[in-house]
Amino acid sequence: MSTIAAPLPDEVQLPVARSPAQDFWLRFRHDYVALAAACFIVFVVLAAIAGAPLVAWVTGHPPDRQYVNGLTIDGVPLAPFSHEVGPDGIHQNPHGQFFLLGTDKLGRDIFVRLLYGARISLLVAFAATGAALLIGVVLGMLAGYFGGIGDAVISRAIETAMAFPALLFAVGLAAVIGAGLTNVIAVITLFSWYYPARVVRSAVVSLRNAPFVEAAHMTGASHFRVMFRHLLPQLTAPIIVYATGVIAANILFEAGLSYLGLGVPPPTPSWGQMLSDGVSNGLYRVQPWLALIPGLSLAALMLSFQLLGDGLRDAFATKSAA
Amino acid sequence: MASNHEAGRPPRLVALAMLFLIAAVAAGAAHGRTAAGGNSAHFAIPSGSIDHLDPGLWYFASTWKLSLATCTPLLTYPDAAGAAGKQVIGGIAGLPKVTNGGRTYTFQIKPGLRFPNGKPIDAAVEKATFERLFGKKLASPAVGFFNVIAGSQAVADGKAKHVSGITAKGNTLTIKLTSPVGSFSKRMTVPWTCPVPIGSSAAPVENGSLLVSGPYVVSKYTPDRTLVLTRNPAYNAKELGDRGHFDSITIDIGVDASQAELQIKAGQLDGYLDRLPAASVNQDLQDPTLKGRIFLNPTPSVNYLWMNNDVPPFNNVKVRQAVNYAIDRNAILRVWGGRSQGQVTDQILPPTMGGFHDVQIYPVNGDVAKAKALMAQSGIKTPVNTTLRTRSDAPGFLEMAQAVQSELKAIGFNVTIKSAPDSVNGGVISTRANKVPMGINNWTQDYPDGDDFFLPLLDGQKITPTNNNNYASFDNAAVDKRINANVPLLGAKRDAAWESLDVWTMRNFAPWAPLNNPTWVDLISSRLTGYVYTPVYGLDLTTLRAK
Amino acid sequence: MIRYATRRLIAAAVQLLIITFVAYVLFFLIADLTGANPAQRVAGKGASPARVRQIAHIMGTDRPWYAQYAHFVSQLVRGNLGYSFQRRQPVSQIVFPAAGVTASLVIGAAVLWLVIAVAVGLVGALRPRSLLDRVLTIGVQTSIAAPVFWVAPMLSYLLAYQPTQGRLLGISLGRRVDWLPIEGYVGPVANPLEWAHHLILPWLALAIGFAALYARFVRAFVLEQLSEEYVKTARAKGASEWRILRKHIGRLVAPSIVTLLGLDVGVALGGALFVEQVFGLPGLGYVGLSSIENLDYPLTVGTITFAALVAVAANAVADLAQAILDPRVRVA
Repeated sequence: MSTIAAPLPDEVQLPVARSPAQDFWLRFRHDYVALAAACFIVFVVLAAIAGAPLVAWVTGHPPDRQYVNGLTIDGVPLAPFSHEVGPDGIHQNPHGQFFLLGTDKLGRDIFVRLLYGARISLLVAFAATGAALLIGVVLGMLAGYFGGIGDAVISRAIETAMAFPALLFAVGLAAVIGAGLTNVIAVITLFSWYYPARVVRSAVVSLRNAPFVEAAHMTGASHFRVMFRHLLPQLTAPIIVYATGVIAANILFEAGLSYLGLGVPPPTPSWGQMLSDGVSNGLYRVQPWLALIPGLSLAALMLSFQLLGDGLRDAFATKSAA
Repeated sequence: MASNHEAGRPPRLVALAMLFLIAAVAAGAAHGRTAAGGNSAHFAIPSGSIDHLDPGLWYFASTWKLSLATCTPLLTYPDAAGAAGKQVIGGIAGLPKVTNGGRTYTFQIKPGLRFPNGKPIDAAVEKATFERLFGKKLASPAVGFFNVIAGSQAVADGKAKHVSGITAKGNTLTIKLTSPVGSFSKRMTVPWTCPVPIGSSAAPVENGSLLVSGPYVVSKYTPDRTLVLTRNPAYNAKELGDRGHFDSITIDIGVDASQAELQIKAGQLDGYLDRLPAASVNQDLQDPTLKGRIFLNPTPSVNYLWMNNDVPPFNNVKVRQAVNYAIDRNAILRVWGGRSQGQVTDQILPPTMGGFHDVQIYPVNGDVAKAKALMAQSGIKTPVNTTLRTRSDAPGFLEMAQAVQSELKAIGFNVTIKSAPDSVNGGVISTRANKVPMGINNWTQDYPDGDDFFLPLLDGQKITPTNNNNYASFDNAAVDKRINANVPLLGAKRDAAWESLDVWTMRNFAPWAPLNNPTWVDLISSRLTGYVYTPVYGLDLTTLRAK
Repeated sequence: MIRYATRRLIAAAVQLLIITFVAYVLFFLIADLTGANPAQRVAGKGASPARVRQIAHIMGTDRPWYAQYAHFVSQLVRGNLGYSFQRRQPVSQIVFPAAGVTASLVIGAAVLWLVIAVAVGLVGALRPRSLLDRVLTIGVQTSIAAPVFWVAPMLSYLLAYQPTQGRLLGISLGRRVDWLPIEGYVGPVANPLEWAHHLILPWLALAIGFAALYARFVRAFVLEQLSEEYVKTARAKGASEWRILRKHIGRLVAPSIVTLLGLDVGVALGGALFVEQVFGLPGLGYVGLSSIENLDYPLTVGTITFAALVAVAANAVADLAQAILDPRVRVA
């Protein structure tokens, strides 16, 4: 930097060159909403990884442990801030087990399950989105860059995949392959890869005749090098922004699949499974917390991803990719 | 920033749409949403409840409940609750004269019975009905229960057109059996014996046009949408009883149970003919405004955990007994829905069965120490990895499965739960080749006798490779011998024999871990009275009437 | 043009074939892998094995899957979607009315969510960062996060049932109000007022999530456009805000919304499934779901085929329309 201690008056301030990354960070740093959203996501991840076993140890409640007296004699789960019921099955036993957020329909501690459930919900969302992005970006790139028959085939494939009635297929798949973590991730990936593919394809189509691509060709770069070393970096911004939206949608998709019976197998908790348990069979009318707690958690997480995505988009200074 | 924008004028189209919607709401509100106009009733059932409307084929508990209103069997039960409702009385015919050491049953068809087409219902009609049941074109499940009738197997095999063991003369119907069967009168109460006109198609008739012998006939049937019953003009109330007080009954098919519960309380529905959600029911039981409208009744059924005696480690009796000690039936009842939804049991036959005594074979809350000791004695190495199958489409089963999964962990079992809708799950567990290790199911009686539990579910001689109801593949020579000995018995001696066989089997062989006997809950609208819960079929549509 | 049209239609036919193929194999596999036997279900509980075999022969399920599929395709090209042995009706007789119900639901919901989205989005764009905008934004974001299978029963419970007990959202009404049905469907032809009456809550349930998404889009788009040069020009010429919005920005936002709608109809069909189940609407989602539970696979495959047909046809028509309007497309 300059050795002059302070700029002299009337002197022009020389512009300082900044990299795009620094530009981005400067803008993002001041977007308090997006920062808060990012912090919340990090908090949830930490809570899932470290907080869950910690809370399980402190309360002494493993996530799968079913407490007989965690349900009343009428089989009704306990509300937040409840003790387990005493021998008569109706009145709470003030010296018994304490449940901060109450119990679920099998007498398990909701607080502990909420934290462990965050693991599955995040895992499913990230894994499915990651896989969908991988497939979608690669196919979109190939289609947009090469054009011609390859593009026609991939575009038709995207259209065909989009025409599948997703939920009916998911239910049918559930009957064949059964519930399971990998199955859930596979199904979600199967029904979300085509969105990033479309977006990437149209972005590449508009960029493939840009000067910098021509320049790269002229320097003798192979097609793959051009695609992945030159085009892809241009796309990272919209891809990342898009990813946050897709993660949010996939969190919800998992909830929907759990409701239809294709969820993670019991006794593994997930927020989607907890929400669908709370909503099914009118349980929310008797114990609304069973639906509110996972529902609000899901909403907060989805909100955070969306706000983060908005903030990232503003910070990258890109127009909406829709 | 100053701008001279006009006061926003919403597009006219939006205004029109708003008006339309408001009119719709107003019209609906004015029109009133009471359960039904005039003298008609409005009920609902879930999707897939009606398997067949051919009286030779129907077999679901839900359709048999409808049979109370839509047909009259050869013999039947009174429209009464409790013990009175379990007495076999005359239906189309009076009670039979039993002669020849229990091999000949002589029925007198009641006089003056007619079909809506004017033709009389006599012995020839009933004989033709039976022959239709045995016909190959229909292949009724009745064959399995009625093939004790002499000459029926020949018809079922296609070798004869008429059943030699059934003779019809005027209004006298004589049925000869190949061997005495003590429960034969009870078997004649099943809705397969409802008469159909002579000349009815030998193939299935599913539009309800053969349901012509009861207080109601089917006037409209849209599969999976609606069923409408209207009064049968030819119904002879003098001979068959004054049954049915509504002029028409509309049944909506495909209504979600928790929505139906709301509709009943809101007065938009008269009742729901299937299970209501347990949690809502428990709440309703505390509601003073619903007093007198909500009824709890024991069902002749059992929820049980069966273990496949062909699949290790369940081929070892000590393991099966250990399972019976390891589970906490109390906890399982709570996840099933609590004390209003059933009562715990460790016996095969439900308390509604004649001669039942509650015997404490296994402790209600379980005894994990004893279970572990039995596992040690069995010589089976833990951990054991196994699979439990149950249905996913009815509330409570998956929950009970999870409770069992958690409780069996204590004795070293790693249970994986696989669930599917009943249509799929039933097919999987009833195919022996699949060797499913364990599962949780419900069995509801077809008629109130012990042989309706033992023969299909636990008799080694009745095991079939597919469509097998003996999921446990239980094949025990000693038990089979006692079953055969019980079959011809009659009366209290018969009941006591089944009961003692029940306790003996559970104590010594433990093919199952019976869990609980469900309680049925009915919630009806405030405008109805005359609720009767019959012990055999449940809610009786023919006794209800508007206040 | 003819060449392009033929190519496009052939592509559509191939897509449909692929979808039906996958659906057929999937549901055939269910029977094979799980041992579930549709013929068993049709024959009934307690049917003898001989009877089940007989039924399987009538249904054609005892033939190898490729033979069954070939038969299915040969029927399909004749316009026959198959026969449901469970219901004893041709599949088309079940599916067409069901499609009408789903169309009622989805189109009505789409109209509703567009109206809400434009209203909310405009407010946000015209008064950005104001308190009203912030509150709406939070409301919108939370609505997106609420899954349909939760919103639907909640709406039914809070807005239809509670008033019949004299309560509305916590406020005591003093008397029982019976203003909305808890569930049920009435056809539009016989009684249009009742038809709309029964669909108000389902429309709302389906619309809420989408309204939020579209409101976000509208707000962002309009906000962006309001700072463009042409708007400044228009204002300088004395045009009112409303005129600018309607004539200039409206024309630009419409195609984007139409594109989004095209993409979202498929997603809406998925959400419609939950709404149909809760509100007892006999639409495609409900028919499809219950057919899977009842092992009525001809009906399942028929429903999927019909839904796919609509989607594929819509795409093809849109492409053809575009080709007519824009000659450059035909060369691609």
